[in-house]
Amino acid sequence: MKHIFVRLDRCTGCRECELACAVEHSASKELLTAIFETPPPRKRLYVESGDGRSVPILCRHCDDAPCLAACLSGAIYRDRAREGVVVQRADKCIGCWTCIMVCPYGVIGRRLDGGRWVAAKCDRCPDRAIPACVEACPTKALVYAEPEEWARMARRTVATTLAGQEG
Amino acid sequence: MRHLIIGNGAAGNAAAHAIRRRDPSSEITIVSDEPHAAYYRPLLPYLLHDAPEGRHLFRDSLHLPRDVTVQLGARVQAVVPDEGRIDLDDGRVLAYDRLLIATGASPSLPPIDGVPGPGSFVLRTLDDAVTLKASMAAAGPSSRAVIVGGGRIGTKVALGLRHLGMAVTIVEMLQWIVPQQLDAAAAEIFQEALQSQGIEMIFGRTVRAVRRQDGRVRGVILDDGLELAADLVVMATGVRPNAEIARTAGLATRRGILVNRFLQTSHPHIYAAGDVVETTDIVTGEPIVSGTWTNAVFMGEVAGENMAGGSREYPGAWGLLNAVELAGIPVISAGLVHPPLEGYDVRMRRRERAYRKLVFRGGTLVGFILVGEVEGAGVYTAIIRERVDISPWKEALVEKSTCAPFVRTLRRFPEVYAA
Repeated sequence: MKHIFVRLDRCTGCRECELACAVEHSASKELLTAIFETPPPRKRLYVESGDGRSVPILCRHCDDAPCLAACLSGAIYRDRAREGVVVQRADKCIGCWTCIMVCPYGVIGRRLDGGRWVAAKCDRCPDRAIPACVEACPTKALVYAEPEEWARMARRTVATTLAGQEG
Repeated sequence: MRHLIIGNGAAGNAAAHAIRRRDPSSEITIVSDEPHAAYYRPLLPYLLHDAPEGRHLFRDSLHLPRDVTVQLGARVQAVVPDEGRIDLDDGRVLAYDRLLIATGASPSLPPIDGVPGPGSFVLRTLDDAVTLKASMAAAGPSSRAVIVGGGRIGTKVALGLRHLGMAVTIVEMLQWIVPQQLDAAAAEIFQEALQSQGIEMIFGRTVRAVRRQDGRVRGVILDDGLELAADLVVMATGVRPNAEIARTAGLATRRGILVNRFLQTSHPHIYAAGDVVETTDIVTGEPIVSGTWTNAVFMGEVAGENMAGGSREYPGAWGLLNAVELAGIPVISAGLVHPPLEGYDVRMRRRERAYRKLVFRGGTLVGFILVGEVEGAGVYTAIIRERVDISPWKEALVEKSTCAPFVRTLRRFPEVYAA
């Protein structure tokens, strides 16, 4: 299953990813109309900045997802048809916020859906081949890859760096 | 391996899921004394006023554990550890290799003259909800209800009954509502909201007796002699573990069933999880019986994994781990929110209808209450559990739950982030 990995040295804190996420989850899916929608579309990932550096924080679609385990109404489930991503059905969400209470990454928010407050959670963009945040990142800090591919990339980067150092 | 689980609630189902994850083929049987399919107990208050949330009461196919035999309406009469079997009250005998006792808890009633009795109710099971609802319908919308206990259940029932137009009074023994989860400042926000909905609240009082006439409730008498007019009484005064079955089987119990850090009882083939267990508080290390759904789920997961051959350690239950929305205001609280005066650093932010309190002991977070602005609460939960030293970021963390320097130090992130 592919995951979204982060090359921290490439993150500039521009927040294009947050914007793309919100637009993807808007009614119109167009930036210029999305910003006027009611309710305003809600991002599901968070870029934290401080000390001159930025860190994007994303849902990990965990194997032992605490949000899934703790959900009091069965709204959160694992979609086996989509490689096991952990998603939420808004119509079953009762706004109890138990998922927010247990997510260790703090990546679940609250949004309005048909006049009710429900949980806002990353769904890995079911209507796209590549998640909106990944596509939007101008520096390719966000990488959509299988864990083995990512591990290879990380090893190659380290090897290249070491080789460069030895000159 | 034959797995047997007594109890079809949060812990029982979480354990069954966990066993299946490790072991796709072993036999799993769940035995429940309730006649209903597995349901989400926290949703019961919604049934009282036909709230739409009540539609989700029963677990759907995505959330029922796979290939599990469920015996409903079967009460366990005895557990016989030396012979690896349980005896049901209908005469059937079930053998097991590994047993999980997840029998939950039952309403605990303080000594009140006239309780239990006609016109007084509890709300623990689906049958309780059906019974209460029928009586409310019979009593009619202009009746008066007294709710004894202003905790989570009491306040939710109060809101539900008020929604139907009944006159509602909560009598709470301590000084503010939901006293275990909230402090005075947070409770004030909710009390204003409840008052504006016409719910009356009496604090610092207990109920001494329920007065009946012609077999029907007419009033409740408080400990100071004051009588409140009432047509029905709902007892919401806490729960007590259903540990009797373990006691008579010779397993170690105190208030609840005693377990080690793998959630094994005093017999290695018998585990226990959920409201029936007495375990240790994850923050204070003190013994606790925790009656919360979320604790039961995580206990069930650990017990199930270990029944199926794992050796996962349970870090302890949360004395407080609660998320709720009352009168349109979300609140999440966890850990130690009423710290002793010495040795703790308490930091608060109060804004209109929003309130945050973080409790630190040295460099670690031990408790928090978030009212109104609850996003990111899970980060606090995680850093309490992991005892992360967050000394450089205390002030930043009071404002919001994540800030970049802090995030970069969290050990769990390295597999996701490079450089």
